[in-house]
Amino acid sequence: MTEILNLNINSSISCHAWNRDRTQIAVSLNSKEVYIYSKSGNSWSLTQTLTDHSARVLSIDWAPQTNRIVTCGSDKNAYVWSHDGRQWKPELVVLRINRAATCVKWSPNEKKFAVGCGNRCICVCYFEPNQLFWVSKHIKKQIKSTTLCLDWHPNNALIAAGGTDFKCRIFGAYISEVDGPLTQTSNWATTIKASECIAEFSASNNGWVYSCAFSFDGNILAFVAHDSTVYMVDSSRNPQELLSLRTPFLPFLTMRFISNTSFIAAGHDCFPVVFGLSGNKISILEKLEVSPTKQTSSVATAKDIFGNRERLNMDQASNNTLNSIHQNSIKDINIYKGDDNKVSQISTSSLDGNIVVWDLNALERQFGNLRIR
Amino acid sequence: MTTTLKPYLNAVRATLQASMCLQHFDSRVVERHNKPEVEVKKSKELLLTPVVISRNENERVLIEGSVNSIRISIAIKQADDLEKILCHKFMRFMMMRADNFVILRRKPIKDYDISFLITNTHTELMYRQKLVDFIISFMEDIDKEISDMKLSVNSRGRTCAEEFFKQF
Repeated sequence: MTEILNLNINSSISCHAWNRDRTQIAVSLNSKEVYIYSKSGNSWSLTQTLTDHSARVLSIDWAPQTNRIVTCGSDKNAYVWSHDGRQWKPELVVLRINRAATCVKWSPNEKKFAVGCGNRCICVCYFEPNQLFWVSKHIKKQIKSTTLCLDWHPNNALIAAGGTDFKCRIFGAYISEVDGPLTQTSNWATTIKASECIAEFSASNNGWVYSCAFSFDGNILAFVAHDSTVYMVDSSRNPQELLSLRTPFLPFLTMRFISNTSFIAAGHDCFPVVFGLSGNKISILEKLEVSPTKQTSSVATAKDIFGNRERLNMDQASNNTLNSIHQNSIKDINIYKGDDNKVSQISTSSLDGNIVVWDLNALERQFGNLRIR
Repeated sequence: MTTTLKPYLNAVRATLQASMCLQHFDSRVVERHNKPEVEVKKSKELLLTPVVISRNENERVLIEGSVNSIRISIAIKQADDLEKILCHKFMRFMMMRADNFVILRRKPIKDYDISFLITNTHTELMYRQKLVDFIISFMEDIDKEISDMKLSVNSRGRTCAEEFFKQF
């Protein structure tokens, strides 16, 4: 149901990324290095340490088809790493920014990627074959703050970005020389101009937007903010109407869609929560509070109960481990297994140094209310 | 423990838990810098509304939040001059050794006796709930500590006076 990866990491993990067949993982331990682990049998071993960054790495993304890693960090740089058969080789990206690069994401066609930064712009980067390095185009319109999250629409032409100005916006990020003629359309806009702001949504209670995502079919945009509220816009109904749900939890830091209408979010509360949209109403489907000690059998003898009561009373004052697998904020969620519109397994990484793989099918059987459509 | 102390500490605990949701944030003003935004206050949108929780006019807690740091300032009960002196000396003793206390600020905020500065580095290295517990137990203990010291100063004074008056 849940499995903790045995990577032997004693430091907090800020982000992680998987390769296509989930046999390799890239993690950043809140430091300037990126570690690549690969699976051999049931154990994980460190294969390479990527050391080119000179300050903390903030985001990693692994392109599944082309097998390239892109990393960015506080040192204002992004690197594209490609494997030459023996090891990973970096290529510098000319970002032309002078503040930290906070988030990075490959486009679905893997020909370009976007970098969000503290420089009031989003860089859309692509490989320039004449100059033999990655160059960037800036999206500057209406951005007056640090971008904290990015996500691509499946048509490769739209990008959603949220930041510390309490807003989530959709931009045209179409580059004709890379993408070719634009074929797929979307409900969000009839015509897409490059680097034009198409839609803007405000977090109503002034929370920094920490994470945003498009659903698999691209019809729904969802984002989470520091005001503990989740927001959704369904473009097939009304691309201007912002739906929101205030939750009783601490703020969420990260989110992912797990089907076309439901997503999973996690953050400072150390357990993931599944949200679903039906009609124009967002609802909490289930919070996945799986307690870390499962060894104790449900049938306890009377003696055990008394013994435990004695201990529990004492523990209430001194012992304060959380009743969840993660003991500190969850920073990153990735899809571990799933097809085009239904995810069956996800992985979460947390500041307590654990990466946990959650089997959603098994959890669906355990929690009655969880029905992922 | 009096009846008003418990709800006061509970309110502080709940506010601390909510405001200690911090994350890494690089400075937008200075290139390649990372500063606690609650101290530099360069950008208004990165700051949260400060909260004051007070039990009475002497005992109160100010919690200022921001994207990557919070500042907690505590005003400690000082009923008379002796408590004032004791509190001042005791806080000075600790703040001179602020490096060993990790989250202690070297100077308190104006009108408060002691300040803590918690950044995202601290919440990454330590468990958040333990940090909250530390602040709460500090608030519980400090009153007891000062009234204990007051008692011992008084009893010492009494003994001294007795010894002194014996010669007459």
